[in-house]
Amino acid sequence: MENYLLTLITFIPLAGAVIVMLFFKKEQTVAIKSFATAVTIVDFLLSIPLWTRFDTSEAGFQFVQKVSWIPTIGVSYFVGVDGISVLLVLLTTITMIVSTVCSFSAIVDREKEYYVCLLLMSTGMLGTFMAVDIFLFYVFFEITLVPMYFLIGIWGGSRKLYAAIKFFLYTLFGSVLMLLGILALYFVNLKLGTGTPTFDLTELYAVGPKIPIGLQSWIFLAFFVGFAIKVPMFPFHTWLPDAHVEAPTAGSVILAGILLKMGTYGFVRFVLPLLPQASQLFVPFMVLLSIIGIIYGALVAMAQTDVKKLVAYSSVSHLGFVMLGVFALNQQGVLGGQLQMINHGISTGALFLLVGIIYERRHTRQISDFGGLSTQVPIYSTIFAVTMLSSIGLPGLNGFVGEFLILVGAFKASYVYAAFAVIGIVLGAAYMLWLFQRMFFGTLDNPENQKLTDCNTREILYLLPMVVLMFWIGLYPRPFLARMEVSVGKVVKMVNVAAAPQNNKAASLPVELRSRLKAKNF
Amino acid sequence: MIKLAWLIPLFPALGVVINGFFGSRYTRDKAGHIAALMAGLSFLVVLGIAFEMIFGSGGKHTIHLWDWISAGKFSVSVAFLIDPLSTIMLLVVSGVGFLVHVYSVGYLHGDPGYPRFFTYLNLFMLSMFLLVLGDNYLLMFVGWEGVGLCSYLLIGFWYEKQSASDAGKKAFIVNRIGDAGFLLGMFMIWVLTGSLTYLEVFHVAPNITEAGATAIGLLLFIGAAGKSAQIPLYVWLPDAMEGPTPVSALIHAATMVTAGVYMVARTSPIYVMGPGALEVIALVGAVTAIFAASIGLVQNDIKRVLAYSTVSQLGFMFMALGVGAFGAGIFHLMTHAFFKGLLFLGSGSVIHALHHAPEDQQQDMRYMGGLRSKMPITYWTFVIGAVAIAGVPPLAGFWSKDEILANAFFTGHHFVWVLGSVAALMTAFYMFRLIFMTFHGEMRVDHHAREYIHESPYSMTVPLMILAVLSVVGGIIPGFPPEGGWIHTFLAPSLAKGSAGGHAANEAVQFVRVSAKSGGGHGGPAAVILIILAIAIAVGGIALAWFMYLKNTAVPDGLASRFPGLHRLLLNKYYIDEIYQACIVKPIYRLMGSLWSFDANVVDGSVNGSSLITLVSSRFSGIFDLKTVDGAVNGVASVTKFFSQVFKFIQSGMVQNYLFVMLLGVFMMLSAYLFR
Amino acid sequence: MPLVIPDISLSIAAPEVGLAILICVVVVADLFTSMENKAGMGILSLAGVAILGLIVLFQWGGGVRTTFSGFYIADNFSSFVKMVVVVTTAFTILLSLQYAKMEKINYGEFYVMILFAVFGMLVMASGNDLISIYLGLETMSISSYVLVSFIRHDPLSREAGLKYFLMGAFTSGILLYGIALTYGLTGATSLTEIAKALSGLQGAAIIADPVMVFSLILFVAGFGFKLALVPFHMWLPDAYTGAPTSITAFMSVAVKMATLAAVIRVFFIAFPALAGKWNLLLWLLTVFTMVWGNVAAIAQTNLKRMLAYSSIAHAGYIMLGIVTTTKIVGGKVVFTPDGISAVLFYLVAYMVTNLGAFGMLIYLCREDFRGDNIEDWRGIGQDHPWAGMAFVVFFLSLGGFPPTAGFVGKLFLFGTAIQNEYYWLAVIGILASAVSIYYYFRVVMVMYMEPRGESQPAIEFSKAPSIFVALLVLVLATIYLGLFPGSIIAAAKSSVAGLL
Repeated sequence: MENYLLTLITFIPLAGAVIVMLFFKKEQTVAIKSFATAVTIVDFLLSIPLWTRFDTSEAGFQFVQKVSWIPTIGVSYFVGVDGISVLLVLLTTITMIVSTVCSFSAIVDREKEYYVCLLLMSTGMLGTFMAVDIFLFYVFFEITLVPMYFLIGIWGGSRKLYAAIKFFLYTLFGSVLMLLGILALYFVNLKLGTGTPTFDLTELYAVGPKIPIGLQSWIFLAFFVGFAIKVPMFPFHTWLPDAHVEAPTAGSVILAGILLKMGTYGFVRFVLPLLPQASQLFVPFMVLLSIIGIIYGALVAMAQTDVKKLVAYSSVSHLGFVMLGVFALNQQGVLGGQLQMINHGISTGALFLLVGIIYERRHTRQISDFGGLSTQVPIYSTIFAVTMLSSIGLPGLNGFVGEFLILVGAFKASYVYAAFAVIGIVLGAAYMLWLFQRMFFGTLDNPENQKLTDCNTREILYLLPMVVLMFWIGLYPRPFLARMEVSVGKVVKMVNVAAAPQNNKAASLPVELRSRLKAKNF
Repeated sequence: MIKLAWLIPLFPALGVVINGFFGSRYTRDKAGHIAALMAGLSFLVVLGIAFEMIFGSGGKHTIHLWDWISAGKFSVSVAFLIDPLSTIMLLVVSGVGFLVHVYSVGYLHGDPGYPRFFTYLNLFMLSMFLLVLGDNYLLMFVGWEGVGLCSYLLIGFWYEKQSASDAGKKAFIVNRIGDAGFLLGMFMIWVLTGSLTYLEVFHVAPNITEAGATAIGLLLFIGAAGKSAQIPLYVWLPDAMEGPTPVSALIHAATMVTAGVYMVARTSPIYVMGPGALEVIALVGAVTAIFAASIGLVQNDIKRVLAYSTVSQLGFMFMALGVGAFGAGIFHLMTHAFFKGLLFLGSGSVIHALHHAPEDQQQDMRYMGGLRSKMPITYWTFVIGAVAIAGVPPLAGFWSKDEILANAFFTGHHFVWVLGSVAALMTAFYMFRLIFMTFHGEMRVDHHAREYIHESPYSMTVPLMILAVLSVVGGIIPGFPPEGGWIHTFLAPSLAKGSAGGHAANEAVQFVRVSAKSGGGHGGPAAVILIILAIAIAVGGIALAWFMYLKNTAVPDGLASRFPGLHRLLLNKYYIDEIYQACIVKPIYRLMGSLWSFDANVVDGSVNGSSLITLVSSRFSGIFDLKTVDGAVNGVASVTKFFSQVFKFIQSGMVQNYLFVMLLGVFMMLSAYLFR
Repeated sequence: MPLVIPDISLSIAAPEVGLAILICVVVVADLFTSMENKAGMGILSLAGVAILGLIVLFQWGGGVRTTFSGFYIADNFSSFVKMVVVVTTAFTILLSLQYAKMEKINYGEFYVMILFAVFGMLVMASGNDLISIYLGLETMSISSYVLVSFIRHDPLSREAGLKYFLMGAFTSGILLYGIALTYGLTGATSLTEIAKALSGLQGAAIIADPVMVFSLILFVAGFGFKLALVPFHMWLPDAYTGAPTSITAFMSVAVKMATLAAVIRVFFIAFPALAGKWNLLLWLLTVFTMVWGNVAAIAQTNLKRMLAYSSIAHAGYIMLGIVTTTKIVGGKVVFTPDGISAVLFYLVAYMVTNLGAFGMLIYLCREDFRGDNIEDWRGIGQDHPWAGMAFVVFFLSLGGFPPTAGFVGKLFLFGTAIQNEYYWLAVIGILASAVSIYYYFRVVMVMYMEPRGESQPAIEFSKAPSIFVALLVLVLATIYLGLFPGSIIAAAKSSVAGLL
C-alpha cells in the first residue's frame, strides 16, 4: 500500500475525470459536482497518511515507487515525497477540494468539461510535486498547462482568449528552454557521471557539482527561464495578472495556490542542488530580481483598481519574497521560502475565493464599486480581514512565520538584501490596508451593495479550512517546519558544500560584516 | 503564582473568542462586562505575581510554553519572562487596562459596535501582554504588531468616517515603517549573538562590538520611534485621536505607545555597548519633547492637546533612556500612564458630557468653558492630572520628570537638559491652558447642548478617581528619594549593568548605578538647585497660563497677531503632514502610477510586441508566398476552369517565380560556402 | 569486354517483388470491377499492403545484404523505412476508402498509383547507388504528380498537380546534374565507391575541386526540394492544399520518409568526407525551414494549408536531427548514430500524428462541405467532445507536448542537438516549436471557445467505420508512443546500428 500510495493519489483524479467523461451525461450537473467533490475528498483522505506517517528525520524521498518506464533512455516512473514536496502535495489536495466546491454556483455552463478539467489539473499538479525522475517531472509540469488553458479559455472573463493563450505560450516558452537544460544535464551525466543514461534525480544530484561552471551557468539559465516565468519573477510576470483576472475563481485559486509554486519548487528541487556553483554565482542576480519583484509588485498592486488584479500583483511581490528566501541559500531562508509557498497558497488562495464570492454576487471587481461593506456582510469582511492580515504577515498568522524566516535568511546572507526586502513589508501593508479601507470602510452608499448577502454555509465551509490553517501555521508552525527542515537542510548543504571559489565575493559580504561587527572571541 | 503567568494573556484571549464569535448574536450588551471581567482577572493574576516579585524572591523566571519557530540554528519559543521590568509593565498595562475597560462600559454604551469594540480591546490586552511578557524579541514583535493591529482597528472603529479609517491606516503603515527597522535590528541581534531570547542575548551582549551594538540600537530605535511616536514617525499619533477616547487613553497614552520605551529599556545591555545610539535617542527624545509641546501650545482640540502632550512626554522618556537613565525612563512611563490615562479619560468624560453639541464642537475647547461646576469630579481629577504632569511636587510627574532632567544635566547632556526644561515649561502651560479653557471662564457651549451637560456615571468617574489617587501617590512612593527610590532598586536586575567606559552615556550608567547603590540622591547643592528650578518651571508655566487665559484673555490673541507666522506654523503643526504628503506620499503615488503604466506598456508591451512581430512576419511570409504561389491558386480558382488557361497563367510567370526563388536558394548556398 | 551477369536475388528484394505482383493483381482486378465496387480495389490493396508489411517485417534483422550488383541493399534501416511507408500506405488506403467515393475519384487507378508510388519509395529505401535512388525517386514522384491532380473536376487539384510536376521535373534535372558531376569526378555511382574515391589523398584533391562543391549543392537543392526545405518549399502549400486530403497525408509522411532515407544514405554513406561542407548548408536550411514554416503557418486560415506549412516546419525539425548527427571533433568528423535514430523515431511519431490530423479533416469532410477552413471547426469541441479531444491530442503531438509521440520525438531530436553541442540550433528550434503551439491551439480555441455560427452547417462527421477505426488507432498510437516509446526507439537504434 505504502508503495502505491502516491500513484493512487496522483491518478485517482485522472480516473475520476475519465469516469465523468464516460459515464455522466452533460445534464447531470448535480451528480457530476458531487462526484467530482467526492473524488477530491477521497484524494485528500488518501493523502493524510503523507502527513501522519511522514518520517521527519529522513531527508530523502519517502513513499517511493520506482518502476522502469523507458529503459532505453533511462526514464523511470519514480515518485516519492520528501520534506520539500510533501506539504505541497497536501496543499494541492486541500486546494482541489476547495476549488471544486467553490465552483458549484460560479460555473453554470459546460459543467461536465469543467470538472473534468479540474480533475485533470489535479493529476498534473500532484504528479509534478511527486516526480523524482526529471523526465516524469517535465511531463507532469507540461500537462498542467492544458487543462488550465481550457479553464481560462472557456470559463474565463471577457478577455479570456487572450489571457489563455498568453498564459499557455508564455509558460511554454520557458518550459521548452528548460527542456533543453534537462537534456544538457542528461548528457552531462552520461559524460561525467556513472555513464548510464538516467533521469533519476537522486543520481543526477551526484553529478551536478562536477559540471564545469560555464556549462552549469547555461543550464542554470535554461532552468531559470522555465521556472522564473512560472513563479513569476520580474520581468516575466505579465502573464500572471491577465491569467488571474480572466480565470474563473477556481482557476485563480489553483494558479495562485499551486501552479506558481511549481516554479519556486523547481528552484529548490532542481536548481539549487543540481547546479550548486551556478546557483551561488547567480545569487546577486536572483536576489536583485526578487527584490525588484517584491517592491515593484507591491507598488503596481497599489495602483490597481480591480481587486483581482491587485491580488495578482501582490502575488508577484510575495513570490519575490519566496525567491529571496530560496536564494539566501541558507537554512532559514530556504525553509522560510518553503513555508511561504504554503502560506501564499493559503492566503492568496483564500483572497481569490473571497474575490470570487463577491464577484458572483455583484459581477464587478472594481474597488470603487464597493465601500462600507463591513456593516452589510460582517462574516465576509471578518474573513477577508483575517486573510488580508495573513497576507501582509501579521504575527500570529501564517504569513509572518514564513516572511520572518525569509528575512532572517536574507539578512544572514547580506544585510543589504534584507534592508531592501523590508520595504516590501511596509508597502504590503499599505496596499492591502488601502484595499480593505476602500472596500469595507466608509459608508455603504452604493444601492447595489445594500442587497449583498453574507457568506452562506457552503462558502464558510470552504473558507474555514483556509482560516484554520492560517492560525495553525501562525501559532504553531512546528509540525510544518519539522516536516520540511531535514530535507531543506540537505538541499542547503548540497548547494553550499560545492561553493565555487569565484563566488567568494558574493558570499563574503555578510562574513565581512560579521567580522566587523562581531565579538572578539565570540 | 509566577508559574501561572500564562493565565495573564489567556483571559483576554478568552474574551476575544467569546465576544468575537458570539458578540453580535449572544453577548451583545454584556460584551463590556465580559471583557472587563477578563481584564480584571488578568489584573488579579498580575497583582499576585507582582506581590511575589516585590515582596518575595524577585529574580527572573522563564515560563516555557512551546517551541515556536525553529530553522537550523534559529530557534524561538513561546515563553514568558517575569522579571522586575516586566512586572512593572504588567502592573501598568493590566491596571490601566482594567480601568479603561470599566470606563468603556459606560462610555460606549449604546454604540452599535459595542461587542466589536470590546473584542478589539481584549485583543489589545492580549497583544500587549505578549509584548511585555515575551522572553524573546520575536514574541515581543508579535505583541508589537498585535497592538499595532488593534490600534488600527480601534482608531478606525468608527470606520464609516473617512478620517477615522484614514487615521487607522496611517497609524498602521507608519508603525510598519518602524517595524521594518525593528525587524532588521532583530536580525542583527540574531546574527551577532545567535539568539533572540533576552537572557541569552544579554549574556553575550558584552561581547558585541561598539559598531554592532550601535547598529542594533539605531535599528531598534527606528522601531521604537514608530511605536512611541518620536520624530520623524510621530505623525500618526495625533491623528489616532479619531478613535474612541478610552482607546486614546489606553493605547495612545498609557500603554501601547510606551512599548518603544519598554523595548529600549529591555535592550539596555546592548545599548550600553553602543553609546552612539543612546546619544541619538537622547537627542531625538529631547527634540521631540519640545517640538510636540510647542505644537500643543496652540491646539484647540482637547484631545489633540493631550495627543501632542503624549508625544512630548514620550520624548522625555526617550531622553531618559538616551542619557542612560533607564530606570528613570521606566519610572516616567509608569507615572505618565497614571496621569495621562487620567487626563484622557477626563477629556472623554467632557466629550461624553457634550454629546449633544454639534459634531465639530464636541472636542473644541473654544466651545467649552465653565464646566467646572457641572462636572466636579471630572474637574478635580483633571486638575490633579494636570498638576501631576506639570511636575509640581509631590504629585507623580514631579518625581519622574525631575529625575530625567537631573540625569540629563549630570551626565553632561546640557543641551538636552535645556530642551527638556523648556518643554517642561510648555507642558505646564498648555495643560493649564486646557483646564482654564475647558472648565473655567464663561460657558461657550452650544445652547441646545447645555442642558444635557452632566457628570458622567460612576463606571466612568470611579476609574478617574482611582487614577487620580495614583497620580498623587504614584510618584512619591516608589520614587522617593529622587534617583534612589524603591523603583530603581527593584528594576536594577533588569537593566543594564556593566559599562565599556570612556563615554558620556556610560558614565551615566555608572552614575545611575552608583546612585542606586548609595540609596540616596546625588545630593549636593547642584541637585537642590535643579529641584528648585524644576518646581519653578512648573509653577511658572501654570502661572503664565493663568495670566493669559483667566486674568488677561486678550494676550493670546495679541501674541497671535504679533507673531502671525509663528502662530500659523504652530497651529499647522509645522506643516509636517503636508511636507510628508508632498515629499513621500505623493511621489509614491506617482511612482506607483508610472510603474503601473510601465508594467502595462513596457514589460507587458515587450511580450505582446514580440508576439506582434511574429504575427506581422507571419503576415509578411504569407504575402511573400502569396505573391509567388497563392496568386496562381486564387487566380485559377476564380478566373477559369479551363486547363489551357491554367497552363497559360502559369506560363505567364508564376512558375518562374518559383524557380527564381529556388535558384536564389542555390546561390545562397553557394555564397554561404564561398564567403564564409 | 566480358558481360558480367549481375547477381540477382529476388528474396532479398522480396518486398519490391511482392509489391510488383500486387500492382499487377490490382490492375487486372480493376478491369473486372464495376464502378460502384471500386472500393473493393482499396480493400484488395489494403490486404496486399498488409502482406507486404509482413514481408518487410520478416526481413527485419536479416543483416546487411546487397544484390543487383550492389544497386540494392537490404538492411534494418531499409526495413524500418519500408515499414513506415507500408503502414502509412495502409492508413492512407483506410482513410481513402470512403473519401475517394465522396470526392468522386473512386477509380482503381487511384490505388494503383498509390502502390506505384510506394514501389518507388521502397526502391529508394533500398537504393545503394545514385542510379537506383534516382529511379526510385522518379517512380515515386511521377506517381505523386498524378495523385495530387487526381480530383480532375477540381481546378485547384489540377493546378497543384501541374505545378508540382513542373517543379518536380526541374528538380529532377538538378539532382541528375549533381549525380552526373559526381560521377564525372569520382567515376562511380555506387555510394560506397564514391566514398572510397573521396577518401585518401586522391579524394582530398577531388574535394578541393569547386565542381564537387557545386555538385554537392545540387544534391542539397534537389533533395531540399523533395523535402520542401525553405527556400525550396514553394510548391508544397499548393500541392498539399490541392491534393486529395488522404494523398496529402500520404505525401507528408511517406514521401518524406523515403526521401530522407535517400538523403541519409547519400550524405552519410557517399559524402562523409564532405560532411563539414554539407553540414553547414543543411544547418542554414534547417533554421530557415523551422522558422519560416512555423511563422508562415500562423497566418493561414485554411486548416489544410496550415498543416501544409506545419509539415514544412516538421521537415525542419527532422533536418535538425540530420544536421546534429554530425559532430566535428578537432577537425575530424564523427557521426552520432543517435541523431539518425532520433530522425527515424520522429518520423514514426510524425506519421501517426500527421495521418491523424489529416484524418480529422477527412472525418469532417462531406460532399458539399469540405471543412478544411479553421472556421469550419467552430464549436466542435463543445458538441463533439470526443472528436475534439482526438484533434487536441494530434495538435499536442504536433506541438511536441507530453505525453504524446511528438514530445518524445522532439526530445530525441533536440537531445542530439544538445549532445553534440548545437545549442543555438536547439534554442532556435525549440522556440520555433513553441511558436507552433500558437497556431495549433488557435484551432483548439476555435473548437472549444467559440460557439458555432448561426449560418454554419451542422456538424456531421463521416459515418464510415474505416475512418473511425483509423482515427481511433492513430489517437491511441499517438498517446501510446508518448508513454511507451521504448520498442520503437530500440528498433530505430538497431536500424541505424549497421548503417554508419
